Amino acid sequence: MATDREWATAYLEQAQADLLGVKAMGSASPSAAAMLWQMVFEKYAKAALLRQGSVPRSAVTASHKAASRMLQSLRRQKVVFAALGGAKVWEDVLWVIGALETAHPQLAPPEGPRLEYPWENTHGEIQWPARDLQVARALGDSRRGLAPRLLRFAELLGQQFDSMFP
Amino acid sequence: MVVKTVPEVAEELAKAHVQDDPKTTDVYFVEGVDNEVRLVEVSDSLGNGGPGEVLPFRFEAQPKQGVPYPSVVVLLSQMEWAAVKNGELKLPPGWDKLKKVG
Repeated sequence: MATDREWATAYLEQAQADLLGVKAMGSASPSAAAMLWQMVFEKYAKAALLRQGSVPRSAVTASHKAASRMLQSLRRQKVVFAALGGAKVWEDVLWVIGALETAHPQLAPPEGPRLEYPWENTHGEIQWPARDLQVARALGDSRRGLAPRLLRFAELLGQQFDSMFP
Repeated sequence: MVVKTVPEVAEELAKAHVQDDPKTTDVYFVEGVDNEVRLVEVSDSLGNGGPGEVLPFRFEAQPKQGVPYPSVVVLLSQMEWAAVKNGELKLPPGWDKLKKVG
């Protein structure tokens, strides 16, 4: 039977493969990129939790809020905070991850916003991610440096993962 | 209709990016490219060090938002910018003619 560490390695490898997808996609489809970003950080977080071994695997695999919890925890560690970026980068990353998790299909309220599917808002209007998901629009906005900062953070997290979560 | 040039759009994007990240200290654009805006941005908000490679992020053109060209942004910390200047870190091929914006 596979160990938690083997599962962690698999999550880590897939997070890095998903990150390659984000890099290749750029802002060609911000709503599709938003889904990938959510997957990247959720898998990094699950890999981290499995490496730490403090949470049962069943709870780790079922969670869709692991990323924000992991990042909030990392932010409190001064050395890690500095290694992954300054205050602006962390502010951006935590906002993006929070918005992505809130819109996750398993967590989003019926009135949206949603990461993958259309939704009906409180005014009875149908909305959909490519047009109406604020975090996706922000990631695709060339007047903002949000996506490049997020990419840099994710790349650094991947490179330093083994030292942060041995 | 007045069509903006790549340097004009580079200037606009650089200003917007500095507004977005006020700790940006320097912005450079790549001269001699007429169909794409290429920006190198150096910021104190990125901490020290970096991933040891440049990470270009590509944005599609957004004509409705006044950005008629695709753009590619490379963010660098001060340490990385120093490494670029002394040749230890390479920008992508074709990114050699940098001109400071602003």
